[in-house]
Amino acid sequence: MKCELFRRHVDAYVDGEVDPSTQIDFERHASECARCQEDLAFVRAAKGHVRMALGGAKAPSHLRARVLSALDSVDADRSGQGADLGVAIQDEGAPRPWIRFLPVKARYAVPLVAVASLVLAVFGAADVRLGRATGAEQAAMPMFEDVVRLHSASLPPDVTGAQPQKVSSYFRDKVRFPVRPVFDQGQAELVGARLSNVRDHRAAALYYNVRGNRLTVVVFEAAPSEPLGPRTRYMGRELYLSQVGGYTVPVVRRGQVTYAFTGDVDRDTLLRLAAAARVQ
Amino acid sequence: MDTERQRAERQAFEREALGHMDALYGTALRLTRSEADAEDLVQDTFVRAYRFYDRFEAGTNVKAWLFRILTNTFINRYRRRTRERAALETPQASTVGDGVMSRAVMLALTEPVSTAERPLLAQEIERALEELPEDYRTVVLLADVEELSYREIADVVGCPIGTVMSRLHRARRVLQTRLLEQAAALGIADERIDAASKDADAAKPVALDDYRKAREAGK
Repeated sequence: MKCELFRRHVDAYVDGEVDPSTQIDFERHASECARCQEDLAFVRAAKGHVRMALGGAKAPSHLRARVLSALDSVDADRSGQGADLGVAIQDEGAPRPWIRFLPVKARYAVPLVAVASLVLAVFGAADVRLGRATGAEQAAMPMFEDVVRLHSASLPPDVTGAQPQKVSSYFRDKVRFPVRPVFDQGQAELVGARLSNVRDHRAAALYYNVRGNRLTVVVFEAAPSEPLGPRTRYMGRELYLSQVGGYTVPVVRRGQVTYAFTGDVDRDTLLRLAAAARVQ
Repeated sequence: MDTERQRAERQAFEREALGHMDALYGTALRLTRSEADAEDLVQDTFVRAYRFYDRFEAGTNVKAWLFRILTNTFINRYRRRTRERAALETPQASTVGDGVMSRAVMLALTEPVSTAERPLLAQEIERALEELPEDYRTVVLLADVEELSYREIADVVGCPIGTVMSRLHRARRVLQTRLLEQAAALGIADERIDAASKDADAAKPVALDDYRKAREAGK
């Protein structure tokens, strides 16, 4: 064996991927060539260093519980308890955006449009002030980056369907605060919910459908000291307003419980919904 | 599905699959670079695996199968954009450690490093890994950390074995170079050489002589 061949395939040899007779050739060459032997020792050692540096990660202890409860949901869907949930389980290879399967409730469309334009007419002036408040350069807040990520990644819900009590009871033993849907059917249609994280806070993500557009509400507990963005008022409600990655994120706080809203709806609709949301 | 069978399947799944949670989480963390995303990715991987558990062939490698689901889920859902499909620019059959100095560092690294130095080397490897294109990162993680075979890695990432080998080769060269640079910066070779010159038997004479000559010539 020549040095060049040895070096070309030293990785395969170190990984135990060469057949026994080639292995013998390798051993023989290494015993005769000091330089290749050094190379071999280094490739082995480097593999060890990489393994030490990158291996040994431990999943956080709560992840197991999270996974088990997600498996429970699969079981529930299978045994037919989930038949009334409105969303069919996709049993197909390629993941698709789940939202596409949701029926758009056309009957809500007309009243909502009417309400929206009324809101615009009445609160147009307030919005001008809001625009100025958010125009200022803002430090991107990691908390709301997580909220936007939760929305844009469009992860599948742990619980599907429009039943508020199903969603509430799903979160009962998973987060420390009560989770109740924040909109009535006429405002936005509840389509599912998912347990997630915002920074190191456990969070409840509620998925809504507003005239065919996705809206995500993320509920979590934040310490009073955590900044929530510039404060403003909209339709009589105190809101914090952030702009993250092209998304507007209005935030409402009640005690420690923080509600962050974001979605593929226009800004006015989003602010109006955030201002009208039922928060505890 | 009747409840009896479902319960049996659930138990079998938990027994076979959940033991790989740490490994999946570790790889997910390196791929997503975010703890929250890694948790989501692991959860989705298990849910998908459980849904398709009936398609899993008993007796084949569960770990490789789970990693395939994880990788696919990551690509489809979490990868922000298909920005980087870049190939790494390193010559195919190169080894690192040409040049006398890096040769000395290379040799030093084949000995155990001190507990003070280890985290500094590890940090540099982590950083270098993050800078690798995704396809290369995945292959390194599966080969060096998870110790999957080339065949299994090819199945997981869906490419020919030859591609696995060339990606692994290139990625390792990058990591090795960074490891060497960091070790040189920490003076790891110098310490060894000082120690070795006190105990001449422990030294590798040829390389050391070269090194000393080069050192003197340089001064």
